[in-house]
Amino acid sequence: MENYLVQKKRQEMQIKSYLGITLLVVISMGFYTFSNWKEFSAVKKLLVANANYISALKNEVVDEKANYDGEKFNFDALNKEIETKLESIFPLGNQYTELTKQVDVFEEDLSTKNSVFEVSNIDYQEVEKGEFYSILPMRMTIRSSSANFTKFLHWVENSGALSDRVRLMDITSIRLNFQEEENRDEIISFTVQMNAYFQ
Amino acid sequence: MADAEAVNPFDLNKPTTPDSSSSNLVKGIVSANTPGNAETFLDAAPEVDLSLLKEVAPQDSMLLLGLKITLSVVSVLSVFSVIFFSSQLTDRFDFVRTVADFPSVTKDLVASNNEIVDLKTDLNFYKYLKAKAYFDEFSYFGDTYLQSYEILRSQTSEEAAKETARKNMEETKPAIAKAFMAAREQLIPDLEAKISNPKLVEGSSETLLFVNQLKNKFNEKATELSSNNEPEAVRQMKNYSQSAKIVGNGELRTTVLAADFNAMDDKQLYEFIKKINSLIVNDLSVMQKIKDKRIKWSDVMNEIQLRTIAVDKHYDEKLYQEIGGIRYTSYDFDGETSRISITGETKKTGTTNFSLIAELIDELNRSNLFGNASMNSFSKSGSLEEGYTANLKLDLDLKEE
Repeated sequence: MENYLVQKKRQEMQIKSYLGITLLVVISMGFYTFSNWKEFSAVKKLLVANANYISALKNEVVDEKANYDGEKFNFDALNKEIETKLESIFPLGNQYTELTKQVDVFEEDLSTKNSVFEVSNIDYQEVEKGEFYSILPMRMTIRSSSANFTKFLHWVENSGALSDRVRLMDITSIRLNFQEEENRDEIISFTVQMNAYFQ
Repeated sequence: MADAEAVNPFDLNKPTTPDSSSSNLVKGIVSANTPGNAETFLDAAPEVDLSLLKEVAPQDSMLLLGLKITLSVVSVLSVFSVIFFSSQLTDRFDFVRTVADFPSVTKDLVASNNEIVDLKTDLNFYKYLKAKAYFDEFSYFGDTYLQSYEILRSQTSEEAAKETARKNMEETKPAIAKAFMAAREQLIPDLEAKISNPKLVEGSSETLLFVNQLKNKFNEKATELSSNNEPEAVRQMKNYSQSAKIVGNGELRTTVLAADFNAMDDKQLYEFIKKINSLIVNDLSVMQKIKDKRIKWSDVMNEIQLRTIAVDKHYDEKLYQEIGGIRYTSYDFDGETSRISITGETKKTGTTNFSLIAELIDELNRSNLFGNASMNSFSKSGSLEEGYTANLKLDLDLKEE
């Protein structure tokens, strides 16, 4: 008799428990599923947007590459022109023989009977290697008129210009002596310490 | 065993309170039939096997059954939901994916984001190659402009040279502008693309991700060619390496985008070209760095001459022997220490040689090119009749421009 009642009560309890658990599971899983579904839907939308973007990017890349390839000929031509000019201005090696020739040509162009410019000595020193460029130090002893001395300074100061093709150089020190005037033109004897640059 | 007093449970509902009349009636019958010894006319009450009642259970509840089924279904659906969303939105089931390939929106998103990064990097690659080429062009024409400007501004350049320089500047300016605008156009778009997956960013900014991707691409291209000694390969390798230096150069981009090229005068353009050359890397920009360190010795010597004329107005007339004044015998310029030493002499008919030297020192110190001109020891010799000659030994510093 009691078992029956107990079972009856138990059944009622079970109904309540199942009902409670079912509701709990439905609510929690409903929340879980809803929130994840929202995220899932958002990702799906992003995928669609990405697909469209990828398609547009692909077209852009093709166009950009075609554009670059079309202009590459001009770019390469300019690079080759710069390279050719740099061979004498900023060469790959110290190229001291070419530099010596350049000094000789400059001397020949400048020197006249009335306005002297004589390079009596060129002394190349130990090469100094750097990260981006290297240096060939050199010392020159020159006897020159005042006007030609100024021209020599301009020659060095403007060296390295692509338009002139003169080896890139600079002067680190000058020691000069003024001599007695000859035919009213002052003669300057100077020793100049210079750097010639190369790659 | 059955209890004698146990009753049928179905009788439990009957009232148990004794009825007085029925009780008396029963007592009468019992007493009339039992004069002496009590005789039983009914057998003993049957025993009820109550154990049978244990078999009786409440009827199955349909509601409970329904709830059980519902819970089961919901549970199964929940498991499916968890598995589905975990596989789609997390990496918890990646180990399964290695065995059986099944789709995942997150993985698809990562893959599509990676594709976007790769494509955008390809796009940036060509844009920056073009930007590098236009900057080369800019430096190429800029080199002529810089040299011409310096000749034009030089105190010692000849008029013919200045005229040529002026012409060169006018001719190169449109080419510089064209190259600059073309380079600028390549730098306007942002390097980064909009991507949605933060996992790709890995703690760094999106910009940095795209900068690194592009730099890596240039460096990889350069590395591929590093073992090839063909001139074209060497040229391309250098081009890739130098292009990588532009990538992520914030100062370059800001300077280029902010520049109003057409509003620049000659001096501003001169400084702008030098600024851009200092921010990019190519052979010409390396040369520019060397040129920027050079000292204009012709201007230095000219400045000494002009300052000397301010003190001795006959200095450049070469009349020292006749009327005296200042004469220099040697200069010693040291670019490394920025120190200049000048020796010479002064000659005056009066006795004020020292004042002349002092005026020269003051005049040199007034120059923007020099500083700390000094002479610690003064000495002179001669007589009032023949005039006095004083030795000159000046030391001065060359100021940074």
